[in-house]
Amino acid sequence: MIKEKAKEKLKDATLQRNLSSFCRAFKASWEKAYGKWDFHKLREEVSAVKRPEKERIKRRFEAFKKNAEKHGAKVYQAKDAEDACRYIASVCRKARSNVVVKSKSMTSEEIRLNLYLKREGINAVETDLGEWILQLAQEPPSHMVMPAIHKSREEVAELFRQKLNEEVDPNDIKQMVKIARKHLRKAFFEAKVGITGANMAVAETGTIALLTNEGNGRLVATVPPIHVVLLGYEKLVDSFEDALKILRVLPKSATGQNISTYVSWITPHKETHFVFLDNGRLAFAEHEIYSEALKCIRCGSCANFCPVYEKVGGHVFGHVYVGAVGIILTALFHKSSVSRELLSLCAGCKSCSYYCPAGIPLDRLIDRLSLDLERADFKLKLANRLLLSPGLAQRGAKAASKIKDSLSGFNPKLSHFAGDTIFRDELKSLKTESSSGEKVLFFPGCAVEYIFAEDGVNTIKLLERLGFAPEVPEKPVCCGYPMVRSGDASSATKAALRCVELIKDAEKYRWIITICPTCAFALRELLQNLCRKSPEHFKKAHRLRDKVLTIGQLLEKTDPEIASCERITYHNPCHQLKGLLFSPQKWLSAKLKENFVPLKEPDRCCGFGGSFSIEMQELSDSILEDRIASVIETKAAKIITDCPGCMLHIKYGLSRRGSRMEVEHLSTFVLKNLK
Amino acid sequence: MKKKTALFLKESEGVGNENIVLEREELESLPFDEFGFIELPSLKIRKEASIGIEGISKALIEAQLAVAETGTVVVDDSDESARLAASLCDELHVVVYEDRIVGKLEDTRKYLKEKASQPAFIAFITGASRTADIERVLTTGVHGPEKMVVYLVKEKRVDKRKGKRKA
Ligand code: SF4
Ligand code: SF4
Repeated sequence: MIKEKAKEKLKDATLQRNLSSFCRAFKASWEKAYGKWDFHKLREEVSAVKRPEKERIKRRFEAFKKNAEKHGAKVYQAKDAEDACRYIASVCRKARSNVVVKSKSMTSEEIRLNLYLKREGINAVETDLGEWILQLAQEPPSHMVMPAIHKSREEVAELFRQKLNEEVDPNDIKQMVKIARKHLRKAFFEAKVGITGANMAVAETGTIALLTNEGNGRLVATVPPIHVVLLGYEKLVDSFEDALKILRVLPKSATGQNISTYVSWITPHKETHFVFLDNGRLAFAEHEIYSEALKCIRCGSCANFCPVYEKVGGHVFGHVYVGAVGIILTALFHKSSVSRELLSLCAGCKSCSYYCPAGIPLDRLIDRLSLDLERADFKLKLANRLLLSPGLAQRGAKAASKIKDSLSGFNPKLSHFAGDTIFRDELKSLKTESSSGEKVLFFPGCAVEYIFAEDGVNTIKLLERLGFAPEVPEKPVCCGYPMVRSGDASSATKAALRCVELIKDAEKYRWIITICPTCAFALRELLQNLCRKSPEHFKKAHRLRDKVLTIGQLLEKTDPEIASCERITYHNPCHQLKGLLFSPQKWLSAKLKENFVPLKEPDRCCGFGGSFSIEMQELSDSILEDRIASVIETKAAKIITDCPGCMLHIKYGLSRRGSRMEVEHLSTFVLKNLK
Repeated sequence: MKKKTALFLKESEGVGNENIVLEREELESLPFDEFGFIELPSLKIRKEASIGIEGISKALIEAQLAVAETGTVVVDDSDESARLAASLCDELHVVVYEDRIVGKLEDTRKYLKEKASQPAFIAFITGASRTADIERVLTTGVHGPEKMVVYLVKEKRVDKRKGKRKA
């Protein structure tokens, strides 16, 4: 089971050390490479260039084909993996090439080309150093950019001794590279066929671009007399102008370099075969949302920025393609059953979408896939039902608060899911002032209803102090996000319809305020689509979406004065920072001045992810540990955040470390410290 | 020194290249004998070599363009023996004329389109062949050159002043 595999990786010390140092170094060089560039603008350009409409793809393909054939190249359209493998094998056989050299190509992994060629008696030698090491070790790559990241230098030295009969000091990496150079050089000259992928294929001239740092790509394309290029239709772009836009972002997002060492632009000048792979691409180009995945430029950022990937690597969090896009492509090109397992590893932090240089809304694709594949098992479905029946949920919450201590003995994390009281009980005793201020609706959401009642009450008070007249929906209501995340389509729809009904006349409110960015994200971005089967609800969902704000957004707008306080730090909830693209940190630090201590790596996830925190507890705890380490490092008296989920998780994390640092919701903090 | 030139030199150094700034006359007195392969169309110098599995020690070639923002040299590598020489040498030496430096990647578009409309191999080269595949330790010379040297040939000052006066 994937959960067990993940646990094993957490125990692999070499992997943990290498992945974590890679991810940190990568993020730093990413920042530096983008420097003064406007990342969002650049990626919008790339996204536009790679718009995956079927007609465009067809047009680009026809132009490419015409231009390439003009120079004598063969262009073959392979409908699936088998077809592509067969064609390539026949080219090798005709050339009597028993050895072929390859430069790294994900597409060839997708069709398992090496295996096919081996069965045909053809030895395909990978020439990228990392890939070659893994080929010697007979292991699949575990990382898109650093295929052998899980291997230590000692392991590589041992491998060279066993497989190549070469003795080398494990600390002499330079010598290892020399050995590889010697062995691979031989392969280049033996091979009669060189196989590469293409990072881009420029339709206007029939030219491909090939990026490598080692220079193996250009050797594969140069030394053997025949060049085979295997590529998916999505690699096509209209022009050099478009290709250069991709070139601007690809190395930055892949390795944090300004540019790869070698970029080769090749228009056919010798025997060249282009094998265009369909394998589902042309079908999905017509899909309303999965088509987005065809914008992918294979930079690997959606893995490198993923907190789960940082913990378990690509052997667990991937199939052929890894990370977020791997979840999707596995379903599109390979097996749904594998994809379904991968889905359960996703913490839902949206880092992938936030950093994708092609502007692919990966989190939405993941959510949609979760629903389409009906990922939820009976336990998750049961939990969702509970959230849809407030009466039951309230009784459950009350019962949980009574057995909090014994829950804690069973699993300390679980006890943090139990509150002291429930929101509706607190509400009864709350005296609200009649106000002539603008009406706003406070949308508490499940976390406030059943766990953080006090923060809910404080929010109502805060809204009054800010001069508004707050109201709440008459009954507890769920935004539907837990159902979407867990892949429970029928409950998600029910929740959405119920949500629209209970918000009633959105028109009468100036704003709809939440203190949970997840609810805000769901109401703004998901609700309408979930209501698509009921025109009535669809319309209402549309009307309310633009009124939704998080409390942080409202505070920034209203800008109240805050009295001085103790030293404070702040944790960004992922769904606010990467989902709503907002952070109140700037506002908060301006108000608190020297009393504000920023957290290192302000975009790091706390590892909560709702049901993920229980389903994949070891993984979730391990992500949390990293976050808690930087929280403690600030030596702040209090950490503020504005997501009940993050609060719960950070409280649990701090208590595990025996820390006394307080955790407070932004709403409560501001109320207590208003001037 | 022009801003573009300074940026090019900085970026080129940033990827580990050795930069040598020369006057046009000095270029002509480079120790050409040391190179196993030379292709300098601007000086009409070409020294052929048959390049096999052993490669060669030093190759000297000329850049058609250079890109300041990335420290890249753009080489027309369509000639196969020149490409083999540049790919399989231990040291790659590249002559860059200052007036061929462009500011941004996009500025190579016209050149690319024109060249690539015919059978072609155009290379953007930014430093020596490198890998970090073993424990992320950066090592050069994995397949191609271990070292890259750039000769930046300064533009004639006089020409420039004249040009300015006219403007
Ligand atoms: S949402 Fe977060 S955890 Fe899930 S794939 Fe994207 S980056 Fe990884
Ligand atoms: S989906 Fe985006 S981030 Fe992931 S590999 Fe593709 S382009 Fe890169």
